[in-house]
Amino acid sequence: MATNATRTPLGAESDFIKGDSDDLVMLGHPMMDSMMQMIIALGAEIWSGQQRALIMEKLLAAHGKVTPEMIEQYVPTPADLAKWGEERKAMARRVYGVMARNDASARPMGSRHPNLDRR
Amino acid sequence: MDRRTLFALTGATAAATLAAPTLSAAAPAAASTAAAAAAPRAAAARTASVEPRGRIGQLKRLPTLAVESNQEFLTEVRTLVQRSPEGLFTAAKRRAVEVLRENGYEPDARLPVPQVVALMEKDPTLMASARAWLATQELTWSGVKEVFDANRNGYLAELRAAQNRGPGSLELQPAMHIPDYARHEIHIQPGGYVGDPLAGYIYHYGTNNFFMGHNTQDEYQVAVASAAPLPKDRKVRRILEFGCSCGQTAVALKRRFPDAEVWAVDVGGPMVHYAHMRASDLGVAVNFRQSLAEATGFPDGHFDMIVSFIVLHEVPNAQNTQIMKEVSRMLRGGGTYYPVDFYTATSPPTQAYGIFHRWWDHRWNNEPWALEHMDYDLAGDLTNFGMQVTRGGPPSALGGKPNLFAVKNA
Repeated sequence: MATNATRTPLGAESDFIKGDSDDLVMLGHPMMDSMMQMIIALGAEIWSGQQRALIMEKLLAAHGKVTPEMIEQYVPTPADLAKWGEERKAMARRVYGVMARNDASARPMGSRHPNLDRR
Repeated sequence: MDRRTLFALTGATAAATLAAPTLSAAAPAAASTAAAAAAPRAAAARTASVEPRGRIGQLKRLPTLAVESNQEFLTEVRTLVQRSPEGLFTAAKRRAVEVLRENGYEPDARLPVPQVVALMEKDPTLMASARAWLATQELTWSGVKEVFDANRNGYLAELRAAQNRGPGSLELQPAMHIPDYARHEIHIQPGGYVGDPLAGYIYHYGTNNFFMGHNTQDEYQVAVASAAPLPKDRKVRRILEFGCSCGQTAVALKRRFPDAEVWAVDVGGPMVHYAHMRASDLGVAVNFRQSLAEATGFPDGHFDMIVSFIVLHEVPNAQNTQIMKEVSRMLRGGGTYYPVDFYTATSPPTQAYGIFHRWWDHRWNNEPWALEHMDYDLAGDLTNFGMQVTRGGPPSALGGKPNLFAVKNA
C-alpha cells in the first residue's frame, strides 16, 4: 500500500522509489482484488469490536463501570492473551477456512448430483 | 521526555473525545445526534493516541486498542493462510501439482521462472493464495501507518528528544547519497526504509505481522544473536551488525556480550534513529550509524564478530559482493561473520510452486532483489575475499538447520 503522505522532515530521510502494488490485479479484475482485501479488512474490524467487548465485560465485572480510558489502558493478563488468541484463531478459521477447500472435486452449478440415481 | 509527558495533551484530548455522550435508552430524542457523533468517535478510537498503553514484555503497545486488535487479527489471518493445513498456501501447493500435470509436467519438473509464472498466473486458487497474503500485508502497513500518522508530530518530537540521549549513540548522515537499490518500498512498506521519518515505527510494528506474532519480544533476533559463533580465541571486544533495521539484533548482541562495543549500521536514517531511541529506552548501549554496508567507514580489522539478519536478499548481487569485501576488510584475523538469510541454511527453491511463490513475493511484495538473490554465490564471495566458509555452523533462527558462517583468515 504505497502512499506519498506528507512527510515532516527530521533531516536523515530521503526520497524513495514508489512501488506499484496499488495497481495489482491478481484475480482477473481490480474489483475482485478489492473484494479480497475488503473481506479480510472486515474480519479485522469485527474482531476489534469483539475484543473491545471482551475487555468491557471484564472491566464491568471487576469495577462495575467502564470508561474509554480504562479500556485502552487495560493490560491483558497471560490468561487473557491465551484466551483471546484461541478465540481469534477460531474466528479466522470459521470465516476464512473455506477458501482452502479442495477444488479438485469442484463441479459447475448445472452439473448433475453423482448419486442422484441411487434410490 | 517520556511518552507520558510527550503525549499527555494528546491523551487528554483523545479521552475527552472518546468520553463524549453516547446513545442512551433514556434519551431517544438524542439518538440521531448521538449516532452522528458516533462516526467521528469511532474514527478517533482507531487513530487518536492515548499513549502510553504500557508494555507487553519489552514491546511498547500500539497507540490504540483498535489498531492493536486489528493488527493481531491480520496476523491471525496471515498465519492461517500461510501455515495452516486449512490455509490457502496448502491449497495452492496442491493446485500447483495439478496445474503441472494438466500441462504435461511431472510435479518435480524443473522449469525456468517465466514458464512457471505463465503456467500458474491464470489459476484462481494460486492467485487467491498470493492475493490473500498480500491483502494482509497491505492492510498491516496501512493500519500501522495510519495510527502513527495520527500523532505524527508527537512521534517526531519523541525521535528528536532521543537523538542525543544515551546509553549508546546515534550518527545520522543527512547528506548521504542513498543508492537507488535501497530507495524502493521494500515489502511494500509505505516510504520504504528511507522515505518516511517514522519508518522505524512502521517497520517495527508491521513486521510483528511478518513474523506471525512470534517476534514481539525479538525472539528471532535473540536466537540469531545467541547462535552467532565466537572467534576461536573467544576475544570479543567489538561487534558489528549491518542492515540493522530497527536494531533488534544489535540489542540482543549487546545483551549477550555486555562488555563488548556493539555497532549497528543501516542505510535508512529513520531506521537507525528509531533503533537508537528504542535501544536507549531499553537501557542497552548500542552505537548506531547511518551507513551503507559496503562503505561503513570503520578501520581495517576493527571487529571480532559481524552479524547480518535477513538483509542480503534485499540487496542486488553486485552490491552484496562489495559488502562481503567490506566484511572481510573490517574483520580481524580469526574474526567471524554470521549471516542469516534465505539461503544460508537452505537452498533456493527448485520446484514450480516454490519458484512461483518466490516470484510473486519478488514482484508484488516488492522484494526487488530477492529473485536474483537465488543465484548469489555468498560462499564464493567470502572465500574470494580471504575467509574460510563453513556450512555446518550453528542453526539460525529460520528453520533450525545448520547455518553458514565464515572466519577471516589469519
